[in-house]
Amino acid sequence: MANASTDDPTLAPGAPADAQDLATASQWRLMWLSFRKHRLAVFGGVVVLILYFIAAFAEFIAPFDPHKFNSRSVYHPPQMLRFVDVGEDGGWAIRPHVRAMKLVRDPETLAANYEPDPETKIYVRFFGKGDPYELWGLFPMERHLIAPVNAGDRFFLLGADRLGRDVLSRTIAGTRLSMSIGLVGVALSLVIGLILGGVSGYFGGRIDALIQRVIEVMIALPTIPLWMGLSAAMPADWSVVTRYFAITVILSLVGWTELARVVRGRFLSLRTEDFVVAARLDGTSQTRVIFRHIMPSIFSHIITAVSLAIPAMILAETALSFLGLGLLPPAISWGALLFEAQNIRSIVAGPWLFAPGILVLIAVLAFNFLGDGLRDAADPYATVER
Amino acid sequence: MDNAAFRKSRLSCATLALLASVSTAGSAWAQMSYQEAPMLAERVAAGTLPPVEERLPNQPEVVPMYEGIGQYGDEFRFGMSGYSDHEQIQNWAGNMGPIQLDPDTHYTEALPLAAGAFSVSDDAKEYTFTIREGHKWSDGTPFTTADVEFAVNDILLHPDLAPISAIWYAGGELFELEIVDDYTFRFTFAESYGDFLYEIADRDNTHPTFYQKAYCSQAHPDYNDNLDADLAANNLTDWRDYLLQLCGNPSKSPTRWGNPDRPSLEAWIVTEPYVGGSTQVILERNPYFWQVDEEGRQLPYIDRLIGTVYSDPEGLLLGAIGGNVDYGQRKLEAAANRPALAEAAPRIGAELYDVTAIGGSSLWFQLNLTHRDPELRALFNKRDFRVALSIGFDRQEVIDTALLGEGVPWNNGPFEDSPMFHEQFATQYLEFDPETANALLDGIGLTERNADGIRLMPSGRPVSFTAEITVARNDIVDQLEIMSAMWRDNIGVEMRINATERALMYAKVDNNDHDATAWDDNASWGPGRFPSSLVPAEFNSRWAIGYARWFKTGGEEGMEPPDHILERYHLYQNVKTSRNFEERRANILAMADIAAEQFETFGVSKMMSNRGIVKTALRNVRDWNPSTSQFPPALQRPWTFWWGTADGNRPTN
Amino acid sequence: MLLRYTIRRILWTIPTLLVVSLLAFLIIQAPPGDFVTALTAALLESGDDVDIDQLNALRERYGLDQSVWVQYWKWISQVLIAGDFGISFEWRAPVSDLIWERMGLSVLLATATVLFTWSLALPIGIYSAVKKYTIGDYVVTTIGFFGLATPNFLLALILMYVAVVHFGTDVSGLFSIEYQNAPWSWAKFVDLLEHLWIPVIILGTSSTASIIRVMRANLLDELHRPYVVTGRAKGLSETRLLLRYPVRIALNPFVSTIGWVFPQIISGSVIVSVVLSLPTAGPLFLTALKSQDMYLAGSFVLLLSVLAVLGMLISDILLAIIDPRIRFK
Repeated sequence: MANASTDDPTLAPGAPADAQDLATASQWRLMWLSFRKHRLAVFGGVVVLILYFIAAFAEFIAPFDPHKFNSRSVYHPPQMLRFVDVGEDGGWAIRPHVRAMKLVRDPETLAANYEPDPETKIYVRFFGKGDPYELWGLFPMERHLIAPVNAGDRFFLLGADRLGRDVLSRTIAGTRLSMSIGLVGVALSLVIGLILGGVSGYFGGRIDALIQRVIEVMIALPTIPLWMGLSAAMPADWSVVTRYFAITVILSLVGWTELARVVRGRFLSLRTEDFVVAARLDGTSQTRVIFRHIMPSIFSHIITAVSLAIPAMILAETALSFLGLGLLPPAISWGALLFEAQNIRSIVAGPWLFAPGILVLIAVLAFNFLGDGLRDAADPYATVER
Repeated sequence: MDNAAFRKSRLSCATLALLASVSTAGSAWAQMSYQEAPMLAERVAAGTLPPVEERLPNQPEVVPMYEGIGQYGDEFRFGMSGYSDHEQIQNWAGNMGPIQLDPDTHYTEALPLAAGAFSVSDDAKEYTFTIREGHKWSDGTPFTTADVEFAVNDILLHPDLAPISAIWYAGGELFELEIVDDYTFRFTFAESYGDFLYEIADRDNTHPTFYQKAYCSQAHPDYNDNLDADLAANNLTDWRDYLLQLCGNPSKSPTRWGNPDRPSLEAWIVTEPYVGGSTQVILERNPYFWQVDEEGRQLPYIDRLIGTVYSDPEGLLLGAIGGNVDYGQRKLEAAANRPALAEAAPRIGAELYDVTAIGGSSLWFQLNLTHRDPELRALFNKRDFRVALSIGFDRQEVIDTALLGEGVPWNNGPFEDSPMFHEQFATQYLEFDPETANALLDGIGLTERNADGIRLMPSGRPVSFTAEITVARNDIVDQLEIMSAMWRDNIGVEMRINATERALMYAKVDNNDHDATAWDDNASWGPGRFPSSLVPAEFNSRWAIGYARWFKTGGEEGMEPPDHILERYHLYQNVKTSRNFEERRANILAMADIAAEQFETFGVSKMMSNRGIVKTALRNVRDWNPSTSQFPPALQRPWTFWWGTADGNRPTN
Repeated sequence: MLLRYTIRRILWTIPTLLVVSLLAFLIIQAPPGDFVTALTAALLESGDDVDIDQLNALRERYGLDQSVWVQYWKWISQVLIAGDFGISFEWRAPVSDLIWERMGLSVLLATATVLFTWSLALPIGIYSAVKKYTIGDYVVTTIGFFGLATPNFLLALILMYVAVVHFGTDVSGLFSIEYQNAPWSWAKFVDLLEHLWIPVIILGTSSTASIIRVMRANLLDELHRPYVVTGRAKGLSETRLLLRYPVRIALNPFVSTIGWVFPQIISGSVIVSVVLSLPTAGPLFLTALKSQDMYLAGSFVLLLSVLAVLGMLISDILLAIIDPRIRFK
C-alpha cells in the first residue's frame, strides 16, 4: 500500500518509485538531478574544484620556487617526464626522470639553443624535498608534490622563461592570485549588485528609475579609461597585496551592473507572484519577505550569474595586465605572466611561455560550462523532461 | 699616437682634402652637367618645372659617396612605433640645419650644411656663415638671409613663443645676429663658446634655416594684418597654433610633417601628411634640393620615403620581419629582438648590422641623494653605503641571466677608446665582494637585523627602499630583480621594484618623491650631450634632483649643494665656454675626478652593441652606427642611399 | 503609449550623458601629472634631453594649471554650444579632424564583425538547441566557448606572427602599404578583406559564445510550446517547422540587442586594434589616454558613451515595439 503521508496525490497509484522521488523532491535535489545530466557542466565543475585546490596548495604542488632565476636555463625547452628508465645493462625499472639539456648560446644571434645531453638523467620523485617554502606564509615546509632527487638539479616540465625560471612553478603560483581575484571581485560585485538590484526591483517606481540611470551611466562609460584612470590614480608605493585588492575593487566596480540587472529582473517578476502576495497579506514584514521568500527563488539565478561573472573577471585581469595597469611582474598572476610573454621574442624563442594562457582558457571554459549547467538546472519547475 | 696628435693630423689631412676637392670641384662646377631623376625630367619636359640647372644653386654641394655613385630608384620604407614616434621621420627625412657633424670622423667634426660655408674666430666668439648663391626653397623661392633674420628675430627670439633654450647664451648673455648681406650672417657671443657648432648641429636647434619668411610670416601677427580672419577660417584662436600648423618647429613637434605646402630645404617633402591618427606618411623628392653627387646627379637618389605607423614596438618588429622596414634601428635594436630578426633576415633579403655603443651602461643605478626623508638622505649620502651596494652583487650573474650573456661590468662612463675615458670613474668597485660589503655596512652602524635578515637603521626601520622604473623596460626590470635578490641574500639590504606607466614614474621622480631609479645611459660626455652622471645641472641627473633644481632656479628652490658639487658646476661652465677640444676634455676629466672620488652612482654592464636590420641591397650605408639618439641615421646622409638592384628600384621578394 | 515611452526614455538620456561626460573627464584627469608630464616622460624615455622651462611654458599655454572643474566647464560648453571638441595637445589640431575618420573605420570593423558573428553563431545555436545534450551539442558549444575564453590580445599576436612568417603576408593595419593611399579598386577591396579577417575572427569569436547560448536557451523555451506540436501534427516537415515559427520568435530578443551590440564591439576592439595596428579609434584613444591628451581622450569617451547610450535607447525602444508588456510598466 502506498504511504499516505509522502505520496503525491496527483500521481497515479502504483507509479514507479523514482517518479515518487521526483515528485516530492526538494528544490535542491531537483536542481542536482537536472545538473547531473549536463555532462559538460559536471566536468566543468570538477575542473574548477581542481583549480581551486591547486590555488590553495600552490607552493606544495609547484616543483620549484617561482622566483628563482638561473642563467644556465634561460629559455629552456620543456622536458618530458619519462617513467621507464632503461639502464646500461638493458634492464629497466620504474624511475621517473627527465633527460638533461645543455645551453649553447649562438654568439651572433644570442639565441639560446639547447642540445640534449644523453649522458645525464635527472631523477625525479614524488613527495620529495625541494626548495623550502612557507605554506600560506605560516607553515615552513620542504616537501613538494614532485621534486628532483638530487637537491641541486632542476627540471622543466613546461620549460623556462627568459630568466631561467620554471614556467610550471610560475603558472601554478599564478593560479592563486588569478583564481582568487575572480572570487573576491565577484563577491564585491555581488554585494553591490544584490543591494542595488534588489532595492530597485522590489520597490520599483522612482527608486527603480534612479538606480537604472546609475546603471546606465556605469555601462555607458567605456571600461578602459575607467580602468586606466583608477589604476593610475593608485599610489605607486603600495605592496603587491594592496595593489591586488585595489584591482579587485576596480574590477568589481565595473562588473556589478550585470548582476544588478539580473537581480532586478527577478525581483520585478517575482514580487507580483502569488506566494509573495500571500506572505504580505499574512502580515510578514518587508525584510522577511525579501530574505525568506524571494531570495531563495532567485538564489539559483544568482549562483548562475556569479559563475559566469568569475571568468569575465579572470579575463579582465589579463587585459589589465596587458595595458600595464594590473598585476605586473614581479607579482605572479596569469595576467602578469602573459604580460611578460606578450611579444614576438616569446613566440620565437619560447612558445611554452604561453602556458598561462592555456590555463586561462581552461579556467574560463570550465566556469562557463559550470554556469551553463547551473542555468539550465536553475529553474527546475520550468521545463518538464520527457 | 695619442688623441690630440691624431686629431691634428686628421685635421690637416681633411683640410688638404677639402682644399683639393674645392679646387677640382671649382673647375668641376664649371664643367659639370647636371642630371636629374626621371620623375623630375618628365615634369621639366611637360613645362611644369624649371630645368635642373636653374633649380640648383650656382655651386651646389658636392657630396662624397661612401660606397660609390648611385642610381635613381623608387622608394624606401621605414616604420614607426606608436603615434608619437615622429622623430623617426626626422631620422630619415633629415635635418637641414646650419651645420652637420661628420659621420666619417665619428661625429667629432663640424661640416657645413644648409647655411653654407662657415668660419669661426680664434677666440670662438664669432661664427660667420655664407649661404650658397642661388640656393632655393622647395617652392622655388630663393633662400637668403632675410629668411634667417625672420627665423631668428621673429620666431626664435619672440617672447610669446617657446622660451629661448640655454644653448643660445654664452656667459649669461644672448648672441647678437648681424646680417652682413643677402648671403652672409654672423652670430657674435660675449664669451668664448666652443660648443656652439655642436649645439646647432643638434636637430632641436636648427631654427636659422628652418623658416621661410614669405610663407611662415602668414601666421605671424607682425606681418599679417588679416591674421584674425585667417585664424577664424581655420577654426583656431591662437596664432601660435596656426604657426605650428603651417610651419611646425624644429623641436619635437609632429606638425612639421603635417603640411605638404610647407617650404623646406630638406631632401624630401611631405606629400601624404602625418597628422593625428595617420598610419602612413609619404615624402617625395624635393625638386630644388641643393646637393649633387660627384657626377652631377641631383640628389636624393630615392624618389619616395614611405613610413608606416605601427601601434606598438611588437607591431614594428612584425613589420620588420615582414620586410617592410628597409633600415631600422630605433626601437628595433634591443637584444631581445635579435633572434626574431636574425631568423627573418635571410628570408627578406636583409642583414643585421652593429649598432655600436659609444659609452655608458646598461643600467645606471641612482639613489636619490636629495631625498626628502632625512634618515634615508643621511644613509644614501654615506659613500660606504653606495660602495657596499656596488660590490654587494655579482655583475657577471646579472649579465649572464638578464643580458643574454653579453656584457662587461662597467660604470656609467665612456669606453676605453674614447678620448673622454676616465679609468677610475668607469672601473671602480665592479667586483663582487660580499665580505667587504658587509664589513662596510657594519662599519656605518647598520649592525642590527630583523627577522628576515634585513639590516636595520638606527631608528629601527629596515634598510629598504623602492626603485622606480617604467614597466616598458623589461631588461631594466630583469636586472633590478636579480640585483634585489642578491642584495637581500648577501648583504641584507632590501630593494623593492615599482614598475609603472612611464608618465607616472616621471611625475614622481620630477617631484623628488623617489628613493632610487635606474635607466640605461649613453655616457659619452661629448659636446651637445649633457654629462648627467658628472654634474647635476639638469633633471636627467635623477640622483640629485634637489641640487638640479637649485642650480636651475639660481638658488631660489631646491637644496643647496655641498662644495664638491659647486666645484663641478663651476667646471661645467668652463666646459661650455671651452674654445677647443683639449680645453673641453680637461674640464670634463676634472669633473670626472671629483665624481669618481664621490662615487655617487654606479652601473652594471657596458652598453653593449645591438643589432639593427638593413636590406642587403641598400648602398651607401656606413659601417659605424652609434646607438644614441644624438646621432640618428639622418647624419649618415640618407639622401645618398641607393638600391644596388638591376633597375635601381627597391627589391620586392 | 509607445510615443510617451520613447519620449520619456529620450529625456532621460540627456542627464545621463552629461553625468557620463563629467565622470569621464574626471577619470581621465585622475592619474597624477598631466599632458606635459606625459610628454616629458616620453622624451626622457627616448633618451632625449629635455628643456624643463619650455615644457612648463607649454603647461601654462594649454591651461593645464587651472582646476579640473574649470577645464571641464570650458570644454563641455564649447562642445554643446559650438560643436567644438577642442584641440589635441599632441597634434595641435582640432579633435574633430582626428576622430571622425577613425570612428568610421571602427564602425566598419564592428559591422563586419557583427555580420560574421551572427551568421556563424545563430545556426550553431539552433543546431545546439535541437540536438541538446548530444555529442554534437557539446562539440559546437565547446568550439564557441573557445573564442570566449582566449585572451584576445594573445590570439591576435600569435595569428599575426603566423601570418607574417608562414604565409608571408603583411597583416598589420587594414591595408597593405601599396594600397593604403591608392584609389578604390577591386584589388584594394581584396586587400582589405585579406587584412580584415584576423580582427573580425578575433573579435567575433568572443561574442559568438554568448549568442549561441542565448539562441539555444530561447529556442529551447519555444520548442516545447503547444504550437510546435500543432505544426508537427499538421504535417509540416521538421526543418520548415523549425525555421518558420520557433526560430523567428527566438530571434526577437536579438533584434533588440542590435543597438547595443555596436558600441560594445567598438569598445571591446581597443586592445585588439592596438596589437594589430589597425587605424581605428582604439589605438589613438589609448595613446590619448596614456598621454592625458585631455580633449582628444575626453571626446572619444564622450562619443563612445553617446553610442552606448543611444544603443541602449534603440534597444529599449525596439524591445518595446516587439513586446507590448514593457510599455505598460
